[in-house]
Amino acid sequence: MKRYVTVVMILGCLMGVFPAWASETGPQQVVEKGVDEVLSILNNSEYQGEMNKKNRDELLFEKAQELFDFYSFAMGALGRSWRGFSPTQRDEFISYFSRLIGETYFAKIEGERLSDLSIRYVAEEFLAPTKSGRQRADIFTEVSHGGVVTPVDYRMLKPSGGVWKIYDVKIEGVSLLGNYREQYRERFMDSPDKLIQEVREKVQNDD
Amino acid sequence: MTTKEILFMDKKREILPGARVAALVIFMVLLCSFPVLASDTPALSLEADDLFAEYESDPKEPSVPDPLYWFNYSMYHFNDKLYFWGLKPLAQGYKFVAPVELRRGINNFFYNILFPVRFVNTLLQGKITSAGQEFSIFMINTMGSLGFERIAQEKHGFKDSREDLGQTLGSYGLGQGFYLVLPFLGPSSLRDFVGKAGDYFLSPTGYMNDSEVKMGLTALDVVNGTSLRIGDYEALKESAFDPYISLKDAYLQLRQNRVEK
Repeated sequence: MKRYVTVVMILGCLMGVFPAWASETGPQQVVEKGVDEVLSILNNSEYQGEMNKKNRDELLFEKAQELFDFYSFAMGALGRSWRGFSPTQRDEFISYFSRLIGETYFAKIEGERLSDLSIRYVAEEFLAPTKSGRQRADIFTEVSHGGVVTPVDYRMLKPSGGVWKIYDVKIEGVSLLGNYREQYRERFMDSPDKLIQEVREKVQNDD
Repeated sequence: MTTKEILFMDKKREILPGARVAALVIFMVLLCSFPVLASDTPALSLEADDLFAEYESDPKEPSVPDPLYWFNYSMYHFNDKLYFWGLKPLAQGYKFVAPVELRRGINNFFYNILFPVRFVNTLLQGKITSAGQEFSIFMINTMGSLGFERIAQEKHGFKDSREDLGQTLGSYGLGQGFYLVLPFLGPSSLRDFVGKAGDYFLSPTGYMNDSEVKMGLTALDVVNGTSLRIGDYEALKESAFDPYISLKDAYLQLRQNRVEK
């Protein structure tokens, strides 16, 4: 028995799979759990009202950081421009960019009545991994609200040893990442600092 | 050699160092079996990644051109002002007096009477099942509630097709042509504009003789619909660096997605 355990441990170490064991959660489970948590924060009476708005937004933003792979999201959004960014500039851009996305969409959800909101998980589709060996999956859902059904798809990534995270959301087939990518497409001549400055001002204006 | 080909070559050249780094990292993981290294993603996700390949438009199918940019941009500006100065305040006032259930009912009513557009276009695309569903939806909702409720979809699980002539033309292989922004109506394309004109002959309001009633109904439809969507356009605008491109891309992506369905 002891020998068996040793062999398994060596094998495990050799394959570097130990971190993977810790994260057996599938992509759809990650989305389901994340959405449930976000909804419970929004429905929690403790966090309702103007006074608690800041606390709640912080909490929501933490959840978003957990759920989203903002690194890949920003990389995809910037497209060709991404190459010109130094690691520090990338970090800076990502921190403002994730704030911008978070604030816009939380502000949008806030105005909605959540009582008649329901989500149906339609399908979970695994795609071919990327060349760098990251697993990919698409989660298809339908959000019903006020009698209107909106398809919402989550595109997900899992680096070897990491956890599943969302890198793009498609609402009625409109990709958020793709939309930003299109906006940045013709701006590869702009300096990284200029693009960082722009997103920073946008976040500050929204406050 | 086009710029696209040059770009492509550029990408190819970059794959090598990326692959080398990836190979090195994998080798190190195997050798040292340090689990920490495996989660060190940035090294793996250099530009050489093929993750975003599908976001690049097909070289054979260029993204929809915008030759009427100056006209479109001024129409975009016009619609934007029309929304913030006219339509939105009107819809907000209306929202204040009309309960949400009523507004949803009216919205469903206007959706229901456009049944001929959806029905004919499902048939034109040979989607017999969808045509049957559309027919059932129309019959059930009209008889059950004069179209004010979505009984067929909510209680019986029927699916909306949301087809129109623009999508039918798209399904025949016709491209968008070029991007177009229409005054009052917003984003469109040459193909969808032609489609909209064709669909007009299938919409009941097109056959009404009394122009005052017709205008009144159209105004109600627009203001009522807007009252249910206040905030959507604002969110899009606030999160965008270039709202014109953002709106254009969202429209074209949406239509592309609908045609593919």
